[in-house]
Formats: sequence, structure tokens, C-alpha cells
Amino acid sequence: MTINGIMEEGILVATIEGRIDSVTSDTLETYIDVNVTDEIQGLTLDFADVDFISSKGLRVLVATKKKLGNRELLITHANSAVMEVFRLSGLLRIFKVEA
Amino acid sequence: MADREKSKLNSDSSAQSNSSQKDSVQNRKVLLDLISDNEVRSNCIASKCLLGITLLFGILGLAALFGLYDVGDRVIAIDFVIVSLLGVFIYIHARLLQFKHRGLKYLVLIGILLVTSVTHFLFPQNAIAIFYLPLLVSTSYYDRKLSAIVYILSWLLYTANMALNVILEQTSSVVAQYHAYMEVTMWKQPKFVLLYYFIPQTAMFLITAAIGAGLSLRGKNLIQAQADMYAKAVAAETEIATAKKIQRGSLPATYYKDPDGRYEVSAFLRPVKEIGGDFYGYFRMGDDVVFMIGDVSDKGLPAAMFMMQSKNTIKTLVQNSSSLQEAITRANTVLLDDNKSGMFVTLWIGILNVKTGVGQYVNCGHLPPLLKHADGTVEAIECEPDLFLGILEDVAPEAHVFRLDAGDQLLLFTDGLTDAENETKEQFGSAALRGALAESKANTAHLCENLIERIDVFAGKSTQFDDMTALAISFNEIEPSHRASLEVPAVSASIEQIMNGCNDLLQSVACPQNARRLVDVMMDEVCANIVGYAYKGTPEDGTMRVELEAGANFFKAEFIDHGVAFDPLDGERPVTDAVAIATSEDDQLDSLDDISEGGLGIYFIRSLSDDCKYRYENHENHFTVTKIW
Repeated sequence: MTINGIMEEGILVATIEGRIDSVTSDTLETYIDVNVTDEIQGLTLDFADVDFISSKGLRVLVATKKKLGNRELLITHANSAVMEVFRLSGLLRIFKVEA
Repeated sequence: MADREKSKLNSDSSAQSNSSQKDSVQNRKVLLDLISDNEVRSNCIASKCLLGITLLFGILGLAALFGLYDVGDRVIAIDFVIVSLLGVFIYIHARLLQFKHRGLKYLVLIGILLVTSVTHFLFPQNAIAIFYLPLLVSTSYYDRKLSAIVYILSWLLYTANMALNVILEQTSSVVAQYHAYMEVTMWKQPKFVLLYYFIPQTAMFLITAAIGAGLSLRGKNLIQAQADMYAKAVAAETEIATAKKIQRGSLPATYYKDPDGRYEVSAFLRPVKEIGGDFYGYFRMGDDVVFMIGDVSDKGLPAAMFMMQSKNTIKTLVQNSSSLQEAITRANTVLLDDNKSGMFVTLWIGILNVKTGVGQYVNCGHLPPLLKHADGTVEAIECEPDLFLGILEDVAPEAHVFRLDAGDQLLLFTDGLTDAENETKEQFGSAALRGALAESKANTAHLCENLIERIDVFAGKSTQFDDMTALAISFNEIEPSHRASLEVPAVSASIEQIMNGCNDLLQSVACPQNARRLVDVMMDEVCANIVGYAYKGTPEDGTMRVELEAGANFFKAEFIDHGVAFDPLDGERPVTDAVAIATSEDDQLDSLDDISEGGLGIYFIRSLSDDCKYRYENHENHFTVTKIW
């Protein structure tokens, strides 16, 4: 799994490629620890190339959201499998996820 | 009002009056039939009556001819015999006509009137009572007009006789001699005759005629009522016959073979009354075949109506829902509404992919179907049944995975089969049905008939008391599934290998992308769960076997290891955690932390799989997940 980030008007836009599963979630966790600092104003995760996300990945996102506090976390270009996982977990009400 | 609307209204009302015209024509015909039946019977009585009287004359005449009786003159005796011969002739003629001729009643009544009248003339002191004979006979026709004519004629003949006797006493010496011989002197005093015979006898006659008229009217009314009841019964029968046609027409054929030869279905339905509450159904939906059986709580017409609604609702919803579970949940809601009579229906419905034989079923309070394998063994497809449909809101039935192999025969049936009783009130029973199925050599086309025959033999002379329905389905050909087997160490590093094997297999069966992703999530959760715990606590890492199977519409994985008994599904109930996340207001994200490691994973395994099972056997953990798309 690879992650590429660019800053756009103070918001970190990270494009993730691959799957966020029990094995690769650690990579995402590390990336967040390093790149989500107090300076950024928000985080957008582009899921266009994300095949799917499983429960470990969701935990990482939850921790990320907590770290961001009031700053926005947006997930874009989620495919239907990703949407289904968010829906089943009830997290669609908490995370802003766009198709 | 627009002209078109007006003319439609007119045609509607004329159609209605046409049908009620037809009804009243039908009713009139029944009434006329009943009246003519009565007339025939009355003709028979009247003819016999006439015969009787004339024979009496004949006997007297013969007796006179043989010198045993004195009628005054030989000529008179011969006349008597002639009259009796006429009577016999009329009777034989009427009999040959089977008493049916239109004019017969007039002939016979006139005959009776004449003979009565002559008798009265000869024996007038016997009073008007003699005329009660034609009165009674005519009353039996229940025809007031006819009776009126006969009553009037009778009285006129009576009056004529009385007048004749008075007049002829004075003018005819023969008659005067006859009166003297009979020792009747009243005819010399007309006033006496008038006051003490004519007036009282007329009064009696009137009273009797009135009674006769009343009887006649009562008889007519009875016949009318009989005709009405008959008409109603016929109408009701016709309606039921039509309803039966509609109901049978709404069910698919009792035998069907798929044009590609992949599967066969045969069905049997025998309601107790003309129409009933049992139903079966089957239809094709893309690559799947859907088949079902149901039993409405009642019998007869009300059950049939609810049955039609249930069947159509279920079929439509199955064709328009994204899953079997959703379809049946919605069906329950629909059947609850507009169901004031509180009826409910059991249902067993299965949907199988025609290529792979794998699919799901839902059981709402119905008897588990029997599955007969090619080797002859029979097992029941058991599960925890969900509630019948139409009783409670919020019934969310569970869909279970099942599969049929080539050569398997699946039998769905209603309790009319197992509850069938014989003369000693013994029930056939499910064990006997299983036995009958195991022994049966019938192919699918004749299986249902064959089993019903067995049950009929058991039941003997006792009558069927519940609707009996059965449906059999079998697959002749199943596409072989693709399989793969891996043996890997139970460590995280193996997950990638397992996932690759899984995806290769899914690709080989052309699994659609969305389904493939969800299978991946499901497998990821299972792997993370099992791999993390399989050999926990043991000194060395063990290996585990993963058996994969996939087909056009399903994926199945079985994980086998020799570690300590560990059920991956045994953990905190994460469903409530996920719901808590969704519905709580503050600190919702903290609750995710509270879920034990793997808790959310278990939830996903249950939600994403269509079936997941664990068992511990021969010191081995076996965990199986199945997903269908």
C-alpha cells in the first residue's frame, strides 16, 4: 500500500493506493503519526485507488479523527465496498464519506 | 358529463341488467320446471281418481247386467259400463303420455266434473260433498286460476242439478218416478230445497273453496321458495367453481423441466374443499430458480383469498428486493396491513443458482423440507424457524445457506401430509414420510404423486381434513466448483498468501468486483482473527489448512487448525457496540476503543458472510464462512 500526500490550501490531501487491511493498516498509522501535525487545517483521504478497508483500518481512522479534533476529516471517491463497510460499522454517521 | 363517460356508464348498467336478466331467466326456468313436475304428479292423481270413479260405475253396470243390482234400465247399465271404459281409456292414454301432456289436466278435470255431476244428479241427497272431489283434485295443481274455474264450474253444475231436479220433478214422469222410488220428496217443494239445501250447501262449498284456495296459494309459494333456494345454490356453486379455476390458474404447472435440462420441478396440490389455503410456487429469476411452499391458517374461500394475496406479494417482492431476507421482511409488513381477519401464513422459500446449486432459504414457521441424496439417505433441512408471516410487525427472518448436488431431490410439503389420519386416528407422521421418501423409486416428475398415494393408502377410508401440498425439485447437472487448498503457518505473514489464493479463485469464477471486495474484507477479518489466536499460548507456531471453494455465485472458506479449541465468533457482542456508535451523542468515538480487539472484526464476519459456522472435531478447529452473491 502506498500513500502520497500534497498540501492544498492548508489541507493535507493524501491519496492511498491499495487495500487498508489487517496487514497494511500499520503503514497508514505510521503515515498519520508523522504527517498529521498541529499545523494542518484538515485531512482529506482520497480512496479512489483503495480496494477495500477492514476493521483495523477503521480503528486507525478513528484514532486519526480524534487526533484532528475539530478539524475536518474527509474521505473521497469511496467505492461501494468501502461504503458498505462504513455503513455496517455505523461510522457513516461520524465520518464524512463521499462516493 | 362527457359523452364518453356517459356512454360508459350506460354500457356498465346495461351489462349489469343483462346479467341480472340472465339470472331471472334462469330462475324462471327452474320455477317452470318445478311447476310442471307438480302438474305431472297432479295429473297422475287426477287420472287415478277419474279411473276409480268410473270403475265404480262400471262395476254397478256389470252387476246390473248380471241381474245383481237394479239400475232401472238395461240401457242405463250399458251406459255405466261405457263410461267406465272411457275412464279406463283416458287413464291408459294419460299413462302412455307419462301424465305429461299440456291439455291432460283439462281433460281429466272435465271428466271428473262430469262424472261427479252425474253422480250428484242421481244422488242429490248426498249433498255437495261429492263436488269436493274435483275441488280437492284441482287444488293439488297449485294453480289458482285453474282452481277458480273448477270451483265455479262445480258450483254451477251443482246449481244446475238442483234446478233440474226441481223442474224435472214437475215435467218428467221418469224423473218423478225415480224420485218416488228413491223416496225423496223434497223436490216437490222448491222453496224448501232453496232454504234448507241450496243456501247452506252453497255456504259450505264457499268455505271449503276458500280453504282450497288457501292451500293452493301455500303450495305455489312453497314451490317458488324451492325454486329460489335452488337458484341460489346453483349460483354459489358456479362462483366457487370459478374461484377454483382462478386459483388453479394462478399456480404454475404441476411439472416443469428447465429447457436447458438443469433442473426439474414437480408439484401436487389437493385442497380439502374446492379451494384452499395451501400454495406452492416456482419461477426463474436470472440465473436463479426461486421455489416456495406455504400454508394459510384457515381453509376454504377466505384462506384461498389470503393465499392469492400472499403468493403474489411474495413473488413480486422477491423479484424487486436486493435480498431474500429483505423481500420476506417486506412481505410480512404488507401482509400485516389490510388483514383484519387476522390470518397468517407459513412459508418456506428457497433460491438457488441453477448452475452451482448453491443458494439461500428462509423458513417462516414451516415444516423443514426433506433432502434425499443420490445415495438414498434422507436428511431434513433444519433451522430455527422464524415466525409466520402476517402476525407481528418487525419480523426479520434469517436467510440460511444451503445447496443441492446433482441427483439430490428436495421435497417441500405442508402439514396436510404428515397430519393425515387413518380410521384409528393415527397420524402418518414425519418419520413415515421420511421413510416413504427414502424408499421411493420415483423420479422427480412422479415423486409427489407417489408419496401422496402412499399416504392415501395409509389413510384408508377416513376423509382428508387438511389441504395437502408438496413440491419436489432436483438438479440434474451442477457445474463443478473451483477449489484451492493451502497449508500455511498460522502467522500474520501467511495472510497475504491466503488472500492471493482467495483472489485467484474468485477471478477464476468471474466474481463481480463489489462482491470480490466484500469477500476480501470478510477474509481479512477471519484471517486476522484466527491467525492472531490460533496457537496462542503454545510454544511453537502451528500450521493451518485453508480449503477454498468458489462457484458462479458463491465463495466458501474453511479454516482448520490443531490449536486449542477456539471459536472466532465467541467474543463480546459487537453488534451493540456498532449500534452504540451510531446512536450515541457524545464521545462516540471512544466506544470503539472499548471494543475488544477483534470485536469489530467478529461483527464484520457475521454481517458480511451469509453463513459462518464453527465446530471442534477430532482435536481440530473448523471454521467455515460462506458468501453468496
